[in-house]
Amino acid sequence: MTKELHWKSAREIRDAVQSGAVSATQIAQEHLTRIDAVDGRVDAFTQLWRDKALEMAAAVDAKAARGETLGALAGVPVGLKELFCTRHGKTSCASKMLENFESPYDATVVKKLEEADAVFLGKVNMDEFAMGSSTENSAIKTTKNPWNLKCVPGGSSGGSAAAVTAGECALSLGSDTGGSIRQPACLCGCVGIKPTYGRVSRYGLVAFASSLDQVGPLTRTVEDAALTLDVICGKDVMDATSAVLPKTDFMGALTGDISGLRVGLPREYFTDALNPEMREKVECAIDVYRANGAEIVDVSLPCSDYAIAVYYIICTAEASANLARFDGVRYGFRHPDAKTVKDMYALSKSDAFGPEVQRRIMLGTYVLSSGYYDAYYLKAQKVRALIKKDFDAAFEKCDVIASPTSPTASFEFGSKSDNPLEMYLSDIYTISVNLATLPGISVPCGLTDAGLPAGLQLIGRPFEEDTLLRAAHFYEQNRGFDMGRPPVA
Amino acid sequence: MSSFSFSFFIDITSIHWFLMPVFGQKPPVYVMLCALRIPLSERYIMSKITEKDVSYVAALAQLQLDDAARTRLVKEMGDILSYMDTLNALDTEGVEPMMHALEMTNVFREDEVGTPLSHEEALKNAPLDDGAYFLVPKILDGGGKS
Repeated sequence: MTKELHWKSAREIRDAVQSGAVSATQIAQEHLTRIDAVDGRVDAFTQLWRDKALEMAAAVDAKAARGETLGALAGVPVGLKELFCTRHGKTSCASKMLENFESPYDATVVKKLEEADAVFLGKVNMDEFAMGSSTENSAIKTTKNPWNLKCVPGGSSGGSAAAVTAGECALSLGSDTGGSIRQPACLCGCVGIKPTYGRVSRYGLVAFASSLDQVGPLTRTVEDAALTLDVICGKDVMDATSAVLPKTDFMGALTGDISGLRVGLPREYFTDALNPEMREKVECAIDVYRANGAEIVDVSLPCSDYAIAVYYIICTAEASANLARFDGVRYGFRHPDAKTVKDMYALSKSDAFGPEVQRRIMLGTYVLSSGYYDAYYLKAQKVRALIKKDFDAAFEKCDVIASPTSPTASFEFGSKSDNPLEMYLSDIYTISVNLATLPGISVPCGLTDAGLPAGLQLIGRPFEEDTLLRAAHFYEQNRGFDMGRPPVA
Repeated sequence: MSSFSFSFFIDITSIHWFLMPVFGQKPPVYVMLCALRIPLSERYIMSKITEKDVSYVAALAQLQLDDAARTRLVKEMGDILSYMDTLNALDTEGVEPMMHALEMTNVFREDEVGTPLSHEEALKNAPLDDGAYFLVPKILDGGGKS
């Protein structure tokens, strides 16, 4: 079957552009046409950089014409989440606070993609300041799930997942603080990986919770995730928390060989709280490993029940500190009625931050406030240590841990937005991975009866993305079905 | 005194009978709260936090809340903080808190002069500036002249 250019994977596009079979300009034009055709329904893109995309593509073609070697992502069309700083266009974080913000510098990951000859199509939607699990908290627009336009795409990287799934771009860069790459990837039926904390530079990623945030790709194939991760990872002098590690070869790790692999199933994750249909899909996925010689082992993560409470203490505490910088002085919104400095702070923040952002600032301020710090924040940091210990112990018995990515498939707009706690609970399987700083990936593992994607999450040891990607790739190649294309296509 | 008798009246006629099937008799906390003359609203809606707490935290966070937002936050924060109290079930005696995401020692680099942002670039996003400085509303009251 011949595939239209917009359904080709990043690796296929790269190979075609490098070999000269197709030009980067053709690829860019094809994707811009695709966006014109479907984005009116999906609403993934918040900024379409038509001229910039064609300019970048022309530069790649000119480089090829000069006989220069093209980069690892030559001509690959990319959608960037609204929170990556770019000199071109705006960096709004889907917030009124930054609606006119033009970054004076590029994020390190943006620079690395550009150096690898990728082409930027524009920016995609997200929950305001990456706070949310449905992208309903965007101040810009409502992004839909390409599998069912009445349903949410997940969040916070909902625009990234929807754009990739609808064939609007081969690759999107997202960020993951508590599941913001993996959960939307699961709900939209694409691949999303959150690397180990420290694997990818956070410089130029607008900060939400600094001890949890990590950058990662959303793609349609595991191979594309490996390809992108090879490009964006590495030590960065601009991010002191980026780790010094040997050069990676994640593409080379995709050997299709899982001999000796031990897959751990945490008994705390397969309880009645899990939707039966999701459970069945994930168990079918685990059968693929079992049938191919992997050892399936029972593991225990006893502190799992406490993860959400720990997460929402730590992330709100860090968010309240990080977002204090939006004071209306150096950048961002300043309320026109402010006559005093105090008013400038209060009026600007209250008017420009949406309800979820204000709720998290309030919670974070509360748990850090005098008299409550020990009871909440310090306690949460202690339990975080115990959660990490649980994983260390589990990884003595297995090489990867398998679980659902989300307890349910996608849900309709408005069905959880009035109940923040219920929305928080939808992050139950992804949150611990951030708390324990581990790498995690979501791979599509089928469709529910309602025609919505389910996702298998694999969790790896710190900095063992190679094992994680090899295991994920093996499943994807041997699951015995194709996810097909969403109805919007 | 009249408001107290009024609330007491409501207590025995509605709430108490409502609670009867649950407790079978007057719950001791109820008796105690009646004795302390705590207003009805605060006696039965035992939220984790009060409107006063929310206003105090909003002031710390430099947020200005309207009445609707304050009422909403009392409930939402109360629910979420109650949920967070599940952590108290876990014994963390002697556990070292995880203060950092990565085990790291000091990171050193050469002290070299770099290229900072130009004035123009640094001020590009400022809501108000004079080309050299960010401008803000007057902070100190400088003796009445402005």
